[in-house]
Amino acid sequence: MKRRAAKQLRYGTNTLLMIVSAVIILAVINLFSARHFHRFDLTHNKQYTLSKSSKRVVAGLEDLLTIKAYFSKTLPPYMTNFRRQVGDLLEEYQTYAKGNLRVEFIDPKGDPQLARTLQFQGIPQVQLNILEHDKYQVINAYLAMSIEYEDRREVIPAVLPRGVENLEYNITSAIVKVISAQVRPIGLLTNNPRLDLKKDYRHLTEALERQYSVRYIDLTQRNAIPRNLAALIIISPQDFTDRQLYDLDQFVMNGGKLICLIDTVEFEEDALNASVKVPNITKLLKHYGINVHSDLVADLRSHSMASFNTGFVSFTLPYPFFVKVRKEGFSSDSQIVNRLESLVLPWSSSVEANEAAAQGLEVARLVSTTPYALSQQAPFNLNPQQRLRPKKEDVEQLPLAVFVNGKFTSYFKDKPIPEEPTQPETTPPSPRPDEPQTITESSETQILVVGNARFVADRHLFQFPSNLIFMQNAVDWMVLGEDLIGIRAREVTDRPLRELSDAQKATVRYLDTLGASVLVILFGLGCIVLKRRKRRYYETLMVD
Amino acid sequence: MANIYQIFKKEFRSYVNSPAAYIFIIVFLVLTSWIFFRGFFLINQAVLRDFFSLTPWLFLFFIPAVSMRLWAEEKKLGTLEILMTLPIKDHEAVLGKFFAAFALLTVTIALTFPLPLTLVTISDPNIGVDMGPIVGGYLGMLLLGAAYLAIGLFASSLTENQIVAFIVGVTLSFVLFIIGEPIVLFSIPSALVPVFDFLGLGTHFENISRGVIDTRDIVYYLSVIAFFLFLNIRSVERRKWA
Repeated sequence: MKRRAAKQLRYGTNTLLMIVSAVIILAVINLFSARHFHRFDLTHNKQYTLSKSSKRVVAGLEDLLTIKAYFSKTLPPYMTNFRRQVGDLLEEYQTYAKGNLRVEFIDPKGDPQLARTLQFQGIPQVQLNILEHDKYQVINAYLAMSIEYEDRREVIPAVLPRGVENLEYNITSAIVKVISAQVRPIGLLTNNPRLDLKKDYRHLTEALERQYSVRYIDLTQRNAIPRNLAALIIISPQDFTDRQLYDLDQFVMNGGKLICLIDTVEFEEDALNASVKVPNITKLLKHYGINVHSDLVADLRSHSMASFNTGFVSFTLPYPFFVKVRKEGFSSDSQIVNRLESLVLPWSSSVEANEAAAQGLEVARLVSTTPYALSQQAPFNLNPQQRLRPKKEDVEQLPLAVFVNGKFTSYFKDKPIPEEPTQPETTPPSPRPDEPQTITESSETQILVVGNARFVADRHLFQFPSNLIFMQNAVDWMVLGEDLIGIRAREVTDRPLRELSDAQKATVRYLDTLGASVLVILFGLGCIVLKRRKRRYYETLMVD
Repeated sequence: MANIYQIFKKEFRSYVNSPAAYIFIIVFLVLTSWIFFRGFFLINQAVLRDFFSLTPWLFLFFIPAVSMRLWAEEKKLGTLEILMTLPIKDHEAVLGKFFAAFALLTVTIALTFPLPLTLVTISDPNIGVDMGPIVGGYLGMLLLGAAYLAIGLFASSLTENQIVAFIVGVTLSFVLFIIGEPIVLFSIPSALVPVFDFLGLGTHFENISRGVIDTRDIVYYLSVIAFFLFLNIRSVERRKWA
């Protein structure tokens, strides 16, 4: 008896030890597999795979980054799937962040303190329609994200299903912004004496200042363009001197990013007097592959209202020269514009890729009119009360903004370096010893050209506030682009069924519910019949 | 190997010949399809995600019912002694039984084929069906089912009463499933959340059924299966010194 107890104890301890070691072995295996894993995304459009850029950004995190997703729990049923997608995506970020990223889903409902804080942070409630008791009702809900790193914060105020394909872009760009401690400088440049950037473009400046440090560039100074400029925005320039053009050219050759808002038509807005005045920077742009035409575009199908003042009365009417870009007019491939809902370009010129010069470059028409647009050449008739009745062959779809990416060759390649105009008559035309060599080819960089500068001027931003988003997107893309290139817009993940009649639906339902079961029953019956036959066969054998 | 196959054959044949297995399969098929179709046309999406999200719950009851018999019956009828006197190693017997039940599970899962077939037929022809999550979902079902099965088989080896085996199996599976679900994760100290989240049977399934095959999830399931089969072997061995 005693021996048996001892034996049991021995076996018991033995088993316990083995179980513990099995647990340890399996834990080690799992820990190892957690470090060295691989994912295979089987979904059609690689829905759950973060782009390399996003992976690189989160893998490089050095401190804890917190993504707070403020999502209301009570969402309409059509949103639950979306919530899941957002969760999936955030989980994917977490996977690659090596523990440096925390995701929290928070429902601010029932916490008025938090709701106030969120309002202060610029996170509003959005209104959603739900169908309840056969009635449409509006509920307020939170669908926002706040990305926090150290003491900084970036907010995505509305995360909507409509924009789900851009969610990765939005999140990654917010992460990039929030983790970069230094504020990047953006240059604003004009030599137009009629413009005061601080006054006429105050809104744009303020919006940019929220994320960047804005420098006003004066090209009459020597070495005016700082090397570290993240992007240079040229607004409605007039003619530059050759030396200034050279400086601009070399800025691009140094890999600088250029946004040109060019007016080729000079113009008194109140008097509606317009005349062609093409600034000489267009020579440079033409060389880089972009032609800015000296026309004015009227879109007959999509335009905005405009207000005019005759001196005594002011009146508002639809005005084809205020081109309103529709959703279809935005290039769906470009992250700068594919999220935009609207953009109004007042008195804008068309911009086109110069095919010959743009060879080897990647050219994108960012913004286009509807196919029913007209290009009016000088002399212009801008009378708002005229009836534009163009011939059918005169209307076409016109590009209004063009984006070029690639390696540009210098306009001053094989040309002498223009001399600085300070001492024109005394200096011989030879480069000074400290003069650096002309760089003839740029590294990969981007140039964006819009045939209009007034669309972001305060007087028009007041009427068309969403124009600012276009500019912000453009600047963000140019500045943060390297981190964000490669995040592609995801396809829509809506997979509807074909239209089916009720009878068809019922057929499908019953066939699927019962079909396989019938097969199982038939198989079972078959087995029974076989067995009986076999038994009978043996029975007959026995009888014999 | 040959011994495993012999046990497998014997056990699988006894499933084919028992009306209980047919009833299990039919109940499972009818129930899943019926629940799935309640929302299918309402959501109007050519996806099977709702179907897959049902399975951790249905398997919870279906699989212990399949496995409860495997050891308990042998014990009850006293055939275990015969089995163990045969020149068969314990692990061969365990694996043979496990694979037999797994084969039944595979057949059952395969019999849900009308669902993906339907999806392909009635989806919008311009958009089509994303087969990735469906393939992933089925793979996840097999892995999750196998894990439940290993648990159920172990539970069956603990007792000679099938009902007790069923209840123990359901309870063990349920515990391992629920610890990774939000309902538990919300109420435990935050330091434990990652551990529980990892141990939960359901969280890994969710991952796979989205169409993302992650080696970590696969390793996890294989570990759970291996662990409970190991416990099973130990528990069968116990009779030698009890």
